[in-house]
Amino acid sequence: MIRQLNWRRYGLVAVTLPVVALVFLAAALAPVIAPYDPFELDVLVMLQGPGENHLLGTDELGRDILSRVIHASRVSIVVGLVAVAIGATGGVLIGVLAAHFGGAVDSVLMRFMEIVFCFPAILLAVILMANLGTSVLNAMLAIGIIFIPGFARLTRAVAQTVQRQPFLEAAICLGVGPLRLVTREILPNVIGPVLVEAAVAFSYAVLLESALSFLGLGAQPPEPSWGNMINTGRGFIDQAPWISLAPGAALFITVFSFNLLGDGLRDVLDPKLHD
Amino acid sequence: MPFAAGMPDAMLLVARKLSTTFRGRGLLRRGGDVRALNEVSFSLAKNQTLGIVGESGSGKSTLLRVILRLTPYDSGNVAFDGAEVATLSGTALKDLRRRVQPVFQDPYATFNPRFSIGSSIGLGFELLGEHRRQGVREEVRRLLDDVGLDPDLERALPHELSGGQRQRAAIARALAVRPDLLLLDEPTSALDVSVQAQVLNLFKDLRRRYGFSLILVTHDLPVVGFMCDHLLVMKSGEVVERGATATVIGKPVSPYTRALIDSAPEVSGKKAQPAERQ
Repeated sequence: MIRQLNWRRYGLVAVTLPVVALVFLAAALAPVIAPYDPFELDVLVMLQGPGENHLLGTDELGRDILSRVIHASRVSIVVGLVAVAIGATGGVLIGVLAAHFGGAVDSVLMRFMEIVFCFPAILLAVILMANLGTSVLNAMLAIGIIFIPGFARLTRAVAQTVQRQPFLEAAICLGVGPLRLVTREILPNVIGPVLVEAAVAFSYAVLLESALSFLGLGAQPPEPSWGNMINTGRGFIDQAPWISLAPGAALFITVFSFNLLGDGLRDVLDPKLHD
Repeated sequence: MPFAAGMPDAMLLVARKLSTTFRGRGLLRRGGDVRALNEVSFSLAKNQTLGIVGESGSGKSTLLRVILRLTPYDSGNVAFDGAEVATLSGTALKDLRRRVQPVFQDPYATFNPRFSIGSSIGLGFELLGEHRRQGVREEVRRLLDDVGLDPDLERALPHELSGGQRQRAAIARALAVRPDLLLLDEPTSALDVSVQAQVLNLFKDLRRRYGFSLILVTHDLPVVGFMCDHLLVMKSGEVVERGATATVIGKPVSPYTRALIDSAPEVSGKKAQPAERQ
């Protein structure tokens, strides 16, 4: 069967995927493409505006902003990936278990998830970080834990719908075992919505990490991260706005494109959407 | 199994005084209990075809689900080939699963949307122990041909098929494991009348070739008249009439059965069409 590229179905992904790929590429190749060492101080060019030598200007210690923004993307990407991996794995597992066993197991698991859900994400992250200590690793863990209830709810809802479907009962009647029932009938139907959620969660993780770094709880200076760069720039906002604006723009582009990618994936992954 | 005493060996399925209650699910769990099955007894001999008719909510679908062990029952018993369905476990349960196959009403949700038709049908062969990819594929293609579908449809996704094609594919999936008993829950209600007749004829044809017994649940009396030699009329979870199809339809005893017969549309074509193609 020949499938033609359908713009309405693949358009959003076609537009956002290159941007996302660019962000990933920048993170992967940071040492190669960054024009300067992000830690190199140069007091002669402090607070210089964007110009020929420093495309996005320099900060209060004369460090090249562009290089720091590029290097900072590494923190954001790694935190995003690991946090989403933790959240999705934990959430899917809990969601499938809750849907499969139902009754008391379902109630206990989901009530617990709701308790976690009740806390404002940033507050929960701050509480977790206060107990775990401030580091990038703990930021990933804290954000990952925050994501678990969302994935668990989503997975449970989808799994429950699937469990009422005739095709699942047909599989039961064929004598398919419980493990295969989950891996063949339930998980493949859960994976689409989970991927969409993952793309959105990723953008949220990047945002949260920046917020934590902004508050001084994530990446620690001099390690560059978009959050702590924005925070540094706060003190110089009227003389050198580019210190905050550059990482802010990077943050915006990343979060925005991942959000759109999530929407695009929804269109692509729906098997019922005809070409 | 005391109730089996005196029964001929040929009895494939015997249900005795089956009762099921759906508990009301209010906030305080009060009231609303529905007696879905009330002391339903019937038996089915090997190679027999039994039709179960009744209006919506009469418990006919529940009865099928109980036989399939998808819904539990409160009291009574149901035995398949001499073994009580509720107590089966392990290999014996697997065996029951294989030997009794359903075809559901809704052809749109009867296949996992993520897998090709061939993959879904092939699952049955895999469960029978055929693990060679090519072997499964050949069996699937042969089966698709048997149910009157183009074997190349093995690669199609469920949504690419029409309702009638999907129902045929669902029959193929059920037949893959060589069942002794096929349970059909309104297999043609969601289909166009012209397609209905084709599917019903297909069942007749396949029964000759594969030799399975059949229970057909429907609200459509003419369909039963066409397909089944025995008939069970249900109302509010109880059996109100039973017997040979021709006798029941010709000389109904229960007023409810009479009402059912009278309410069947007499519009030309609907009743006549299946018979024409015989």
